Amino acid sequence: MNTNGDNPDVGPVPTEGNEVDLLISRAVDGEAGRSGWVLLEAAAHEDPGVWRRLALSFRDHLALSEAVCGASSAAERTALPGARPQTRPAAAWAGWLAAAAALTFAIFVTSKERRESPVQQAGSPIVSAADALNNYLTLGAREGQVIGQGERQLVGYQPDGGEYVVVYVRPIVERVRVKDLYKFSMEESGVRVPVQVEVPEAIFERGMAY
Amino acid sequence: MAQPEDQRGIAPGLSLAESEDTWLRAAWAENRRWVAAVLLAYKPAWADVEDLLQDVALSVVRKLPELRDPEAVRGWLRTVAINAAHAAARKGKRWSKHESLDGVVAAIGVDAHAEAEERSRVSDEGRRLLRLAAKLPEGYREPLLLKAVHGMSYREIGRVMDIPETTVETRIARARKRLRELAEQREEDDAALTLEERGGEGTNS
Repeated sequence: MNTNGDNPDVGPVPTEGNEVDLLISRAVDGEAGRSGWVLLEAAAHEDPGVWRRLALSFRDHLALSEAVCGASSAAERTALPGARPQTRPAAAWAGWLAAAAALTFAIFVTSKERRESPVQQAGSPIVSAADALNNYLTLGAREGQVIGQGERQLVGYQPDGGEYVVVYVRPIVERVRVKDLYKFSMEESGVRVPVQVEVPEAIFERGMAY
Repeated sequence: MAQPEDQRGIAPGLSLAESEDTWLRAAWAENRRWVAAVLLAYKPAWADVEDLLQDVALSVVRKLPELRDPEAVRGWLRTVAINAAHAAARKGKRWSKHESLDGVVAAIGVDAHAEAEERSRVSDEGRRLLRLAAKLPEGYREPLLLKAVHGMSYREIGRVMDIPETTVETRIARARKRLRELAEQREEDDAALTLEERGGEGTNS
């Protein structure tokens, strides 16, 4: 074990791989502190490759942060649907009231997101298309009409002023109960006419459900 | 609107249900950014984060009665997000293989759309590292991506994952080391492949 003769208060020079990795990681996160940096410098004195590892770790963290930032930005555009939470027992309300008071106060005073996403009060109108869509999906699911959303389908895209305009279809899968089923068929004259079809229930596998 | 007899709103005019709704929206606004990072850590590669966020938002409203202790909201949100990612994986890609809608739309598929969006925001390096991070064990991948969320501390990550702060720190360090190893291995493989291709071109002439 080496000792750091220049600064006995800091401790021995880290030479084990895990110790140096931890120091590098702390430095990337801004958590190394003065003593951490002194230890890093001492480790680099023994092995100059430590500086390269540190630089690459910084670069990886920046690139990964940029990638995650994209997802975080999407989250900031995602609002909760407008449905009310279901009724809970009266005895459970007290803890919720206290938590609501504390958190709501904290959010109003300190959150930067207040400007972008204000907390909705009861009875407030739908303020965006996303709110309307979420309401439709929630209510539709509750009523049994909406099954869910499918993957968006690309219609096309084109560059525009340094960005891209992307056009897509957002499929919403729904179900409806009808009395009769029809399909379109072609008469000899070329006219399309609806023809009633009957599908025996027996051909469907047991347990399949929409 | 009917109100319980022991109503105590936290603000004038708010019923108990309205207070809980207010609290939920505030909690979502405060935590949704790191919820997206959890989705990134657990989702299948082909799944779209925005779609999964919609699923999580719906689940949060539906499942709120299951949350007994408001103090446990972070762990609960994490569980909802992980379940949404796993549900997407179980569902598979079947809805991305859509038939053409009466000749109006050609279903090119999720990947093209997702790539078009990502390209506008994320560098090649960032995308590459995200793909490599998918090869890390979940216990290392998740804290690594949570740390990439701006402003998330070791302590906050520990509260989300319900593990000690020192464990968070260690796992992130190991994840970064392993990610760097994977990246360098990939660079070596790409370089070897390029040399091989060039050597093949030489002998074919």
